[in-house]
Amino acid sequence: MFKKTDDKTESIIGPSTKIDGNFKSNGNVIVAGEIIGKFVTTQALRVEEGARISADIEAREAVIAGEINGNLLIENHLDILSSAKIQGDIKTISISVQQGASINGKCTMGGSSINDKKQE
Amino acid sequence: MYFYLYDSFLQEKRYIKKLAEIEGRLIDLMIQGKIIKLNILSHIKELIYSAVRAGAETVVVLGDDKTISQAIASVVNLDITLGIIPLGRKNSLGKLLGIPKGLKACEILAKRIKERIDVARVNGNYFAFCLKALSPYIKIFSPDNQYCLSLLSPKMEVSVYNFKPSGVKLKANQPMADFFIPQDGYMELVVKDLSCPINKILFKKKGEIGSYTILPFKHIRLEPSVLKKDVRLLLDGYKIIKAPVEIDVLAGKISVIVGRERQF
Repeated sequence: MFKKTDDKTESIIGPSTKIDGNFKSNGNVIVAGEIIGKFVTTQALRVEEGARISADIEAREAVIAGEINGNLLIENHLDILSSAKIQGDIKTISISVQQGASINGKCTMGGSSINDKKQE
Repeated sequence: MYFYLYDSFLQEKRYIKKLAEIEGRLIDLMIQGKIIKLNILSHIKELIYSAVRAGAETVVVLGDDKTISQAIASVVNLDITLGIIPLGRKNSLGKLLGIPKGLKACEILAKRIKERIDVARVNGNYFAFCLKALSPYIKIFSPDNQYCLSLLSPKMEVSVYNFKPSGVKLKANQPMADFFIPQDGYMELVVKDLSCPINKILFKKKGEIGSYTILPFKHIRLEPSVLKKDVRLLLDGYKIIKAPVEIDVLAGKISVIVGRERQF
């Protein structure tokens, strides 16, 4: 279990809730609802099956089982599960994709691509 | 110096023996003090302020959840320690602070384990335990309006908790923080999905992660999501105020005597 510190809070966006706007977090986030806008976390993101995100996403690492309509910038590992549907470009260091997942977009891997994107 | 504040319902006959036992035990433990009795005409805040002016360093409240919550809201800006002796029918707050009901609370008071806990300020009122929205027609705004959280179903319940509410259980294998720590400078906004069938089953026992939205915060704003809809908020189970409201968490604002069995 992670301990919550002053600059690191954890969040759960449950089903039947929707976030509109610019969501920024310094902790791990689980999304089971909807997000529209922009999503940034310095820690891990888990998008549950049934969740829908229409936003560009930045995270340290991510596990995706829901629907994403937007670009993903993942600093470490990206895990795409079989129920995932991604419509957007992916930039990450490493990736694993389960059979059945749907990805429509460009996938770029490696450290330099992440740094280039972050400098933009 | 100790001041003991008796709730008005303790004047009922059935509490005479209990109070005599408690007073005797306090003398044994050498923590007896001046006794003030609440009545319909007196206000708890005024009594606590007059006790402080008379030199009180520790104010002990004897009563139920409502009185304890009122006392906590009254001592926010005072340099005193609050103790409680839970008595009466509704006593869930004592449990959170690790204080048993009645006579056994005297031992805890004598040990004087003090902890500072967070309270929240909401439109000039204070609460330390829970705020509950009595209507689902509500929107939640983050500081600087960065984002807005809205509910997609009317069968939902919005609350703010400082201590862990019963029924919310997080899975042990999820890499999640320890929520509901009343000393971390945050409170948690909790949205329960009451329409979710899994909740209907689990609410009878224990909830599950994913059925809830849990957002720790230091500052948020709650507004009615529909114009002309009256959204009422219940503070610590006794005071009703109307939205829109701004909620600010004040870290470690009050000092309370707690027991070893406290739930934080």
